Parts: sequence; C-alpha cells; structure tokens
Amino acid sequence: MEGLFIAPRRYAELQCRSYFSLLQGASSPEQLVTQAHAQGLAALALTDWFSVAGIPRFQRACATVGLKGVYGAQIRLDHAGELVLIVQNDLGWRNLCRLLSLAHGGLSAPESEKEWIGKVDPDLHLAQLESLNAGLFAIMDARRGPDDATAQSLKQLFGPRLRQGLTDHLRADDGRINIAAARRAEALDIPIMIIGDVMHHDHAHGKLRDVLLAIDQGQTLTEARLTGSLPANHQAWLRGSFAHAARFPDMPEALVEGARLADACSFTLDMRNVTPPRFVCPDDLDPHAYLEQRCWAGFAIRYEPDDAEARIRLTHELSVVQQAGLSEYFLHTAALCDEADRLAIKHSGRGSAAGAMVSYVLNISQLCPLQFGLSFERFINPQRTSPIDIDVDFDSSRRDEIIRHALTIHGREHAALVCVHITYSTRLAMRELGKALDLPLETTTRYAQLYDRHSPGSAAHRIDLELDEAGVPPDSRHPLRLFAQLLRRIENVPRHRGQHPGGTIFTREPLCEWMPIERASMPGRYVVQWDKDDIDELGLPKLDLLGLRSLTLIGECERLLESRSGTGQKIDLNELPGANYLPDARNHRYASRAGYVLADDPVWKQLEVGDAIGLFQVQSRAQIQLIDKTKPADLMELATEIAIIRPGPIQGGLLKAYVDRKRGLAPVTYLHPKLEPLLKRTLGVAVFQENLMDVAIALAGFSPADADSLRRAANRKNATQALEQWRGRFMTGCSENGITDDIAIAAFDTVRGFAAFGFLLSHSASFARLSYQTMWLKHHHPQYFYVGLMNSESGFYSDQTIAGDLRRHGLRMLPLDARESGWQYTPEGHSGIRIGFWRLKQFNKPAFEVLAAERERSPFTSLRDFARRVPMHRDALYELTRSGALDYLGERRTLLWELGEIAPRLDPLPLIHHTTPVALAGLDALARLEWDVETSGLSADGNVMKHLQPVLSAQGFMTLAEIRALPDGAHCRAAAPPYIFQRPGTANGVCFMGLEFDDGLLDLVIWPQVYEKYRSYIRTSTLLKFEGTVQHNGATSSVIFERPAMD
Amino acid sequence: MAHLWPVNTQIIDMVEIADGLPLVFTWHGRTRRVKRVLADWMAEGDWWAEDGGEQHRYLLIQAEALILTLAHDLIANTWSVARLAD
Repeated sequence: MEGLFIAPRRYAELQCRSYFSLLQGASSPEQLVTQAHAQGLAALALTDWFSVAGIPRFQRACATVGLKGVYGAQIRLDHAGELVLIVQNDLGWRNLCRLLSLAHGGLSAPESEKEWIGKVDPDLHLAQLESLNAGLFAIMDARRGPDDATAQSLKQLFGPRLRQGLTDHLRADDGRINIAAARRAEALDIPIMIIGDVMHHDHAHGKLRDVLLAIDQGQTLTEARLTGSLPANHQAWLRGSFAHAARFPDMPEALVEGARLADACSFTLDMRNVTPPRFVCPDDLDPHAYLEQRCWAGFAIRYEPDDAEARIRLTHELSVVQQAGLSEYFLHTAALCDEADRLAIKHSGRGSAAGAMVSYVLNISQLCPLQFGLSFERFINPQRTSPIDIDVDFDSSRRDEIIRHALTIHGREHAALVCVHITYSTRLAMRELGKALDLPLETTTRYAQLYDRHSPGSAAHRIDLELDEAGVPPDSRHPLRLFAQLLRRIENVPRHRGQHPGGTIFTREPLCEWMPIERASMPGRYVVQWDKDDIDELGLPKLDLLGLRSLTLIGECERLLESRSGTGQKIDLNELPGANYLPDARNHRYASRAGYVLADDPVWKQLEVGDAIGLFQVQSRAQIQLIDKTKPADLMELATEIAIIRPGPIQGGLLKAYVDRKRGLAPVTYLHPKLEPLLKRTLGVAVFQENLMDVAIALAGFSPADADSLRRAANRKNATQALEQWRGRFMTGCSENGITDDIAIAAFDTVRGFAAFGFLLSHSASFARLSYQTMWLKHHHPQYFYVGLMNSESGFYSDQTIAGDLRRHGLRMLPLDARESGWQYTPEGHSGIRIGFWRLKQFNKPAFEVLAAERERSPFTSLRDFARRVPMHRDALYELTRSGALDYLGERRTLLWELGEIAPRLDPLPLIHHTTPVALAGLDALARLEWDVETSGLSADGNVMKHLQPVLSAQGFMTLAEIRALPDGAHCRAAAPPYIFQRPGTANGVCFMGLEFDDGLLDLVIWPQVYEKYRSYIRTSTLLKFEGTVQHNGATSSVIFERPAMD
Repeated sequence: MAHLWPVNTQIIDMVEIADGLPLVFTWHGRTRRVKRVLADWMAEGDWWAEDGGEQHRYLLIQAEALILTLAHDLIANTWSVARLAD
C-alpha cells in the first residue's frame, strides 16, 4: 500500500455554483460560505453559470464570517468548452459584466429583437474574449473544458492568467479525464490547479440537485437517470483541503494554486460612486441651479409666497440634495412625471420620497410634507450612507409607456430594470417535486389545494404530521416522506428570473460595466441580474416606476366625468378638500376656499358604515371592521388605519392597543415620556416606520442616519436576523441614555415587530389621499366608480361580487349585447353599466373592432349575417353565442344548433345554405346564469344565490337578512358560495372566509382547531353550508363557523 | 477474460482497513494483502426508489497477482468482489 497524503496548508475553492445557477446549483450563497468557513478554506469563489446574481449576498455572507470572497462566473465558449472566469481587479469585473451582458443579449440592439426571442441559452464566442479578458483569470474545466485548439487560443489570450483545472468527484472516469487534461496542460505550459466543481454545500443537498436537474429537463428522476441527466453520485459538494489532497496526493502545488490565485484577487463590489446620467438643462444651466429654479416655480403654485415655514423647509432640502449630489436624480424623476402629465397618465408619489417638499413642488408627489408633519431627514440626510429610492405610482394600464420612455431617453446602455428572483411557491414546488418523484397527480393536487397559502417548509411539516398520524415512521423511505423532506430544502430556491414591477436603475457610465444586463422576454426591456435588496445593499439609488390600478380607476373616472358632464370641464381629484383635510392651521387653504366642513362630509359617513368595497386600501374585511370600530375622522387617522392593518404592527400587538385607545377603552400611555411628543398622533402606538426611527433616536440615541439604517434592516427579506444585529447597539444606547432595561427591551420588541412589514407615514398618507378620492367617486359618481373599478381590475373582489355591490347601490348591470357592448364595461344611461366583451377568452380585441365597425354600418340581422361579417374562429363564435351577446337574434341553444350547421361553411359570399330548423327548449334562468358566468365572469341577472336561496330556505338555511336580524351570540344555519379565503400569517392560524349571499356579504371566522377538523370541506366546497354563532360588530356582522351543516 | 458478479454476492471479510481503504481481506478462505489501489469511484443510485438505491464505493486494487474491483456497500458496510480481471 502506497504512502499517506498530506493536506495542503491552504486550499481555496475557485469553482462553485450556488442556486443562482438556476436549476443546477442547490445551495444558497450563505450555505456555501458557512460550509467553506467550517472547512477552513483560504477563500471561496462564487462562479455561477453566466451569472453574478448571488454575488451581493455572497459578499455579505463572506464579510459576516470573515472569509475571503472571490468573484467570478462560469461560461461556455461556442456551445462547447466551459471556462471559469475569476475577477482579479476592477477592470476584470467590468469585463466580466460586459461579457455576461453580451451572452444574455443585454447589449444587442432592439432591432435584433426577433432573432433574440426564444434564445434562452447564453453563450460566448472566443472572439468576444479577445478584447474583454484583461483583469480576469481563466480556469479550464477538465471534463467539460475547451478542445485543444481553443485551449491554445486561450493560452495566447490569457497568457499566465490561464489555468487547467482538475476535478475528482469519485466518478469512474475522473482519473482518465484528469490525466488527459494534465498532459495537455504540460504540453501548453499551463499551470494546473485543483477545483471542486461544487454544486451544493453538503452531501445531503445532492438529492435536491438531482431533483432540480430533473425539473430542468422536464423529466422524472428515473427518466433523468436513464437519459444521463443525473450525476453518478453526490460528490459535487464543498469539500475541504483534506478530501482534495486524498484525491491528488502527488500534486501539492496544484492544491495550493487556488489560494495563490485568490491572493492575487483584490476586487470588492462597491457601487457607491455610481452617478445618475447627466441631465441636459436648458440655457446650459448647472443641474442644481435648474433644480432650484424648477422647485421655486413649483413652490409658487403649491404655497403662499409669504409662507415662511415652507420657504425655510424647501431651502434646507435643496441644500441637502445638493450636498448629497442628488440634483440630477430629482430632475430625471420630475421629467418622467412631466411626461406622464403630458400624456395624461395619472401618477402619485409614495414611499419615503413622498415626505420631501422637493418632491411635492416638483409634482413628483401630491403630499404636502408640512401638513402631515413629514420629516425630510426620514428620506435623506447628510449622514446617510444608504442609497435613496424614489417610488412613483402610475396608472397601471399605461405605466409601460413611462418605463419605455425612461429606457429610451437614457439608452439601453445606461438604464435597466431591477430583476426579481422567483422562488418556489408551495404550489409550484409541490407540482414540480411531485412530477420529479413521479407521484400521482391527484396526490400533489390535493396537497397543493390544502396548503397553497403556506411556505413549502410549513406545508412539509403538515405532511409529516399526517404521515405520523398514519403511522409512517419518520425515517421510512415512504415517497411522501421524501416529498416533505425535499419541500423543506426547496424553500427559497430561485426558479427563474423575472423583471421587477418597476424598479429602474440609471447610470452615467455604461450600466453593463457595473452589472450584467439581460434582455427580458418582454420586447424592449432589459433587466440587471440583481434584485431590489441587492441594489439597496450595494448602495445604488433606484427609481421605482410602479403601476397602481386605483390610479387607473381614478383616471378613467376623471375622463368619464369630463366627457359625460357635457361641459368638458376637467376635475382634478387631487384638489378635493376632503383629500387634503387635516385639523390644523395648514389646511386653511382647503377648508376656507371650499367651505369644507369635515363633519358634514357624506363621503366619510359612507366609509364609517362599512360601505368600502372597491375603495383603495380600505376594502378588506379587516379594514372595514377596523374602520367600523374606530371611525377615522381625518386623513391622518385614515393613514393610521391603512398602516396598522399590516403584518408588522399586528404582530407587534399594536392593532389592539390602538383600537382600545381610540375607542376610549384603554388609557393613552407611552413607553417613556420622551416618546409622548413623537407618538401623540397615533395615541402612543408606533404604527409607522418613522415611529420606529423616532423610538431609536429618542431612547437609544441613534443618529438619523443610523435610525434609517435600522428602518431599512426592517425592510429586508431576512429582517428578523438583520434587526437582531442591531439589538446590542440599541440596548447599549438606551442604557447610556438612562433608559431602564425593561423599557429598552419593550422598545426593541416594538422595533422587531416591523420586521414583518410596516408602512411609512409618507407612504400611508399618500395612499390615504387616494383612498379618499375613491370614496368620493363611489359616493358622488357610483356609476363611473364601478365602471372604473371593474375595468382597472383593482381591489380583490371578483366582478360578480362587485356587481352585487353596485346593485345594492341602485345601479343596474346590463347584459353583454352585440348591439351595445363595448370592449370593456361602459356606463349606459344614468344607472346602467354594460358588460363588455373583454372577459371572453376566445374573442379578441381585433374581432371586437371589426364587430363595432360592422354594427355601425348596419345592424346584424341573423347569426349567419353576423358570422359572415365578423370573421372569427368557430370557438370564439361559439363562446360569443353562449355568453348571450347574440340573444336578440334568437334563443341561445337554437343559435348554437344553427352555428353547428353554418360554421363549417362560412364564406365571404352571401350564399344561401339550407338548414334544418329545430325546436329546442330555452335555457332556464339558472342555466343562463351559469353560461353567463362561465363566459363573461358574471351575469347581469344577479348571482347564483338568487336562484338557490328559495330552495335553501325551504331546507331551513337562513338568508343574510335573517342572520343579521338574530341577536348577538345566536346560533345560525346558512349556505352561500365563498368568494375569498384568507389565513393571514398574523392571525395565529385563524381563517377568514367571505361568503356572498344574494343580499350582501358575510364574514365567516374559523378557529384553527375547527379549520383543521373540517379543512377539506372548507377548502373544496363551492357552496359552503355551515352552522355557527352570530357576532355583531357595529355596522358589520360575522359568524363564527362551528361545523358543516347537513342537508 | 473478466469475471463479473453482482455486488454483495462475493462477500469478503475485511481484516484490516486504514483511512477507509482496504489493506488485508479474506476471500474464499484465502487472505490477501492489497498492494495498491489503482482507482476508486463512488456510485450513489436511485435514492428515491423504494429500496433506496445503491450507495457503493468501488476500488480497483492489485492484491498480490490479482486485479480486483471491490465494492464497499456504504449503507450495509459490507465488502464484496464485483469484478476479477485475469
């Protein structure tokens, strides 16, 4: 037996993929770094497949454990040889980003769009490396590396920066491949180094990798094995120097070569010096001078000239903006809002930027910061080290116009969208894992139905519990045990990359030298490989151009008001007194000018009685009940209500505290006297993210910049962990300020509550204004409001549920009719809303345009006439007939019979075809309603309960009116179809279900134990029959579900 | 000519092991000393299958005059001869 090997003193792993090598790697950057640290590696490189998506997280994880991180990526040349590129310095990073951008089509001109569509497999050519190899090391993979000729070319390009990698994964042919690679390296004088070709951090994750590979191939695991898609073993895990030395005992130099290379790499990712594109100012003005000019012009519109407080505030803000070098950033944002105004696209600023007066006078936001007491320092301050971002909402139906404009004016080299990594949801994970494991479809479908609201991890826990109850041992090889095990592992694993709804980055230098750009599947869109947390972490300012459907609603209502009023007069809902009213002196402008008296505003009264379906931000059942209990009296209180029904304040126990205090059931107290002036408006409760900062500044002595960093930590995906890192500093600060430990602990608990998401006051106030505007529309112009609501698809109620609400407001839903209907919903007369064609699945807009033109020319006289003049696919005509749009031409069943005869013979000539007349029975009302809903999503004839309730009443099931008439605590028995099911993470397992009766909506509350007992019935019933206890809460009623009701 | 056997049929007794590698073993009543390990590899089979699939490490060894492939069943921790080259 030959001698023992000696482990190298230093080993660095320079070939390692994370799960950002989508469906190839199986571990997170953090798992890899932790493992590398535990193995005592000298350094670790993250080299994902044509990607640096994991680098920001990798860099952070390395800094946390003190491991040297090296950056790179793995590429393929000419669809053949694979190569690891390692970044040596700043130039290397720029070149790598350019190369990856080239590979992903990020630098291709839009003209080549057609050629690019469908190309999803990135690739590079040797010629592209010629000018872009400086600052990079290259390592040739032994198994999948380039051929001899390419290796020679690479040697010429990279010279001493080229290495031949050898890998041993204990595969039968590793030895043969390594010997061949080593011989070639010797012949070409290329140094050899040992690399791990790592795909997962530990051995156990090899199973997940197998599954991901099978998913990638669309195969079961068995099929993937048979077709050679799976590795022979799970040895591609991150092993230490000892394991490598055992495989290469005779190559001590090659074993330490990785560490030598890592020592030569000095690059660290830092984007703080990235600047926005130059703003071209008129008259050659300096950007800041032009910003000042624009701001003071806006000031003259927004404020009285002698408003000293506002003048001082704006002067101060402009000075800070100049100091922070953000003048051009504001000018670019304002220019986009100007463009939106020019195109008549509604917009509204939100988020922290909405708290700045600069935003207000530039018309980026419509919120006066003085009115709401919004501090500019919350948005930006001289000490702040983190980047700023500005969020602007646009009419969602037209936001794309703004994004396209933004990308066009800056050019694709200087602007791109932020990406999102779509991770496995429970449903998707179950479907794909089930397929890989070859489980019966009905099994995964059943689990997906039952657990779709949970994370894959918690769903796995429930499956394990079921198996425990069934007596399946925990360590058994039962397929569902494996299923549950893999569900846990697949949690947070990215499935694919998409584009963020509107996060945009602009840079003065070419963006592709800072980060790789990819061509998105949507034409003309380019995305970077980092998500919003990464961008934030790296210190890049970002502009969020978001879509808001309620702005679509408001925009449509404004257009209808203008076009149908007969006067052509424009109404600007931003100027409504109620949307600006606060009970302090600054509101005099609105209060006095319009003679507005809040107490007389019927809009508020309508909200107070829970009439909130369709209203922006206050239409959920939880919000309706909160408003019913607390009766918000002005915009500030409405903003509080909007912010408090959020996971953060609810989990922090703040909702109950606020409600009790508002109702006078509990005294208003403060954790510490220092907090009284800061939390007075929210009755001593920290509701907004600004309050979190207030607490940190007042009690722990944080600077505004540190408090802002704390706030941002609360906004991260892993906020709980991020906030824990601040605990020590917070407690020390409190102690130094003489705050007792018990108060400090309670205060930090409040801060921690925000880890589950809370709103900024500036954000919430901005939403409250829009909320009032929707209320005003619903009260004063309900017909337009409902048209806008259904056309904008805002809110979370179905058209059928909204139709029920509009009927209860005295409006009429009019059926789909080929003579009258538009593409979308349209107002008709003073109280009618006509169903449009757009919900039909087979019938498209071009066909509608032909239809509209033809009916204008002359009325359709028969189905045959219609079919001849509006050519369309037979399925579309079939659907159109079923929808009732052609009811005026005959009874639906008879028309369908006729369609069956004429459809095969449709031709442009008016030939006479003989048909066989038949007499078919007409549809009954219930069947007609069913066909309406199946095709259009709703029926003008009401909902199904209109027809079922008489039958149900005969069986002893109550109507909603009967339930409402019962005393509190009474027993009831009823039935209705569910329209919504919610099991919020903040409700400790309590479920909420909305049921739709013919005469209104009812909330059902289901306690966790009851839900577990009847889960299957509750989740699968289309008509829920139940028994329960009635609960009256002011204007609203609900029922506590007890059990399913028997017929 | 080579003789092939399914793993775990030609069971051997491993007399001496160091660092996971065989040194001395007994096969058909005769004790043999491993002169050197020529190659080794690992196969992890269909872990999702009902029987859990295989998990074996294979070693191509020279033991005296014989060239053998030994299979180490990592689950059952048994050794067997999988192949004999002569």
